[in-house]
Amino acid sequence: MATRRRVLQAAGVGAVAFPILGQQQHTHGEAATATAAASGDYKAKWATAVEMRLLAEAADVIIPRTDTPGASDAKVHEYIDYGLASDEARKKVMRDGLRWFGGVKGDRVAALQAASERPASVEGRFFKLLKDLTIDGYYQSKEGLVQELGWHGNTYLPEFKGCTHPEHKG
Amino acid sequence: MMQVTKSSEVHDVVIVGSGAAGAMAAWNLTRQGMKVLVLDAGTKFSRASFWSHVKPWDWWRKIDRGERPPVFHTNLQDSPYETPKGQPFDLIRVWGRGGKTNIWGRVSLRYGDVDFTGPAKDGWEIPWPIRYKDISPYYDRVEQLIGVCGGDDDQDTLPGSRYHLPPAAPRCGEQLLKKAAASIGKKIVSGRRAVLTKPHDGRAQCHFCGVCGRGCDIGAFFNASDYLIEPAFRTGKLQVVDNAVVARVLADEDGKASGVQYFDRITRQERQVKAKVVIVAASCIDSTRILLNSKSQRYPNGIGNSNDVVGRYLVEQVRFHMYGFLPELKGGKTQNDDGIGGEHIYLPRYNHADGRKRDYLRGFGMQFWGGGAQMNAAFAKSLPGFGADFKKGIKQRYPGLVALHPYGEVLPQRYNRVTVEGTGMDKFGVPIARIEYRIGENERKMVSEMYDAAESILRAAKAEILPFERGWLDALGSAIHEHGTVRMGSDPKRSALNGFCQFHEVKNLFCVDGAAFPTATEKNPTLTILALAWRSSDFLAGEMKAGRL
Repeated sequence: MATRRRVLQAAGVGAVAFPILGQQQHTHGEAATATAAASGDYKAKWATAVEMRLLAEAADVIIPRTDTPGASDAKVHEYIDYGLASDEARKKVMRDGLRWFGGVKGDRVAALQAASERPASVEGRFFKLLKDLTIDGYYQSKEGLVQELGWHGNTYLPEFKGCTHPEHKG
Repeated sequence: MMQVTKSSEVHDVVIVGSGAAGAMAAWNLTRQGMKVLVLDAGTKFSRASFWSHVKPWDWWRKIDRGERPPVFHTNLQDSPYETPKGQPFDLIRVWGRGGKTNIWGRVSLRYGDVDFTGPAKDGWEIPWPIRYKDISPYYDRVEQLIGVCGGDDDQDTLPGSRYHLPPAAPRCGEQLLKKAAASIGKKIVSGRRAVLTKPHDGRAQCHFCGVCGRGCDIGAFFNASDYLIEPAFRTGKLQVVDNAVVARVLADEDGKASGVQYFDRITRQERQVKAKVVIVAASCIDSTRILLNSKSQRYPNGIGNSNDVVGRYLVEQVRFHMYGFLPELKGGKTQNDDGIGGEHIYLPRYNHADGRKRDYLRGFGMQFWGGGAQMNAAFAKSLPGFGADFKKGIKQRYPGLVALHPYGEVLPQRYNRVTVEGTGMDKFGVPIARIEYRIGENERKMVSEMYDAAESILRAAKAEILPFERGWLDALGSAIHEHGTVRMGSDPKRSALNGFCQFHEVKNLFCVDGAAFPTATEKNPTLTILALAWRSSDFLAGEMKAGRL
């Protein structure tokens, strides 16, 4: 029900990383009217100051700042810290991975690329988790969803017109 | 030891559960003058508390600040169940007024004679004891009462209706899929949903915010609490007890149902109430558990179960998702694709009619689950890479997303069952349900054709197909369409109920929820649950007036 459906398919469009976030969210839509939550006062749940810095830097490798904001601009590191707070198993994957990431000498892009090719290794598991959570966090943030993707849903419409393109019709 | 509180009042009818089934029976019986007591295992959900317009970036920040959205799903501490190791079953329930209709998918499809007589044709298990002509007047009434939008199409696997509200306009991606499917001979029709696409019966129309799964803050789709329970209160004939977790149906010396035993969910106080008629409508698995636990000398296998049918033949559906990106929409402008939440199109079952013989029985239909601009980009997890080009690729694909979501029927099997023997206890000391359920060869063969069908539509649309693992299925149980464990039939040896949801063995006991369906079909059941509950409670009222109960 639409909620039907805590359907957490690995590849699922509706899939979100944290059940408490995802439970009622499997449909679509959310609008661009609210103000971004002030996050200057966010206190890390488990990550140390060093880990928070590494997390922000690693997330920015996945989704960098371009002509639109990047992952750390959207506070994805805060989202990840929050989301893993009560998930010991994945927290450990993240922690071990951040330690590896912090020790990388030289090209971090090349190091993450190599990690992605070794999915069973400490750094490979870290890469997959980092990538998935960065995608969730960034594309549910105002920066990622509204500024980058142009989403403007979950609002009040007097009418839903649907497709207005004659060329799309059969 | 707490003392059991027994009320001496004898109600005309006690109904267990206030979801689609129980609320419909309560509404229909109270308007005919009967005194009805409804026992619900939760409380009323407050629309004002729904997070219908909380944006995704605010969602987790609010939770972090200690705020909480309403919790609809029943927690496993209050309502545990067991499954064999390695054989999971995803059981999703909502305890509270209106039950799952607070957050249901709203897809409202009529069943046809292809469904009701299917088992008679292919010989697998029992057919329904009713035909389309028996139920169609009730479909008409239900649709007029609750408001169902849809098109004017009519086919044997999806009979038409004269009472649909205007269909929701297809999104771009849906229009293109329709065209692509037509090019390979598959006819996609308008979706049918219990969503008010115009004002109906004094209720406001949908405002297209797209997040129906969080509960509707204006009640623009049918929920059993606002649409049935509240009007029933206005008759002055209805009483509802909240937080009443029913354990057993009680029987008298003649073997008739005499009332129910329940526990207060908060205080754990045990109570008993008496009634002339008992209706069980607690949703498939909970109703089955209650019936199996209702043991006595007369009914050692549970009330109404001398033929060992109750608990068996559990059926649900097999589903998966396939995603693609349409070339006409990739790189285009992002639109507001929310609509009425979920897809606006449907592909009815066709595999019985194209002349090609299959190596499996029964069939599947296809839903599509929205498409276009979502409030996340989770599809990106299935794409390779990272970095600036990856980010660009996501933006380019985002407006072009389409989803295909077929549903296939699962055959009834004796071994797919609910039992209460040797299981654990809930916090009231009542045995919990053990669910044993697995799919077999027939389903695997059907799923293979379901994958072919979804892929062929995406290929006809020239879509980029998101990588998928062929044969992958959603968790069993997650369609939330459980049926079969208290099935109706014309043969009392092979079924628990007659066509009016009345127990063959216990004339004043009824089970009107999805458990009564002998087959799952490929369709969504709630419209049929409502129609059957209306029809069965009409019958009940007639029998009661005639003094036969």
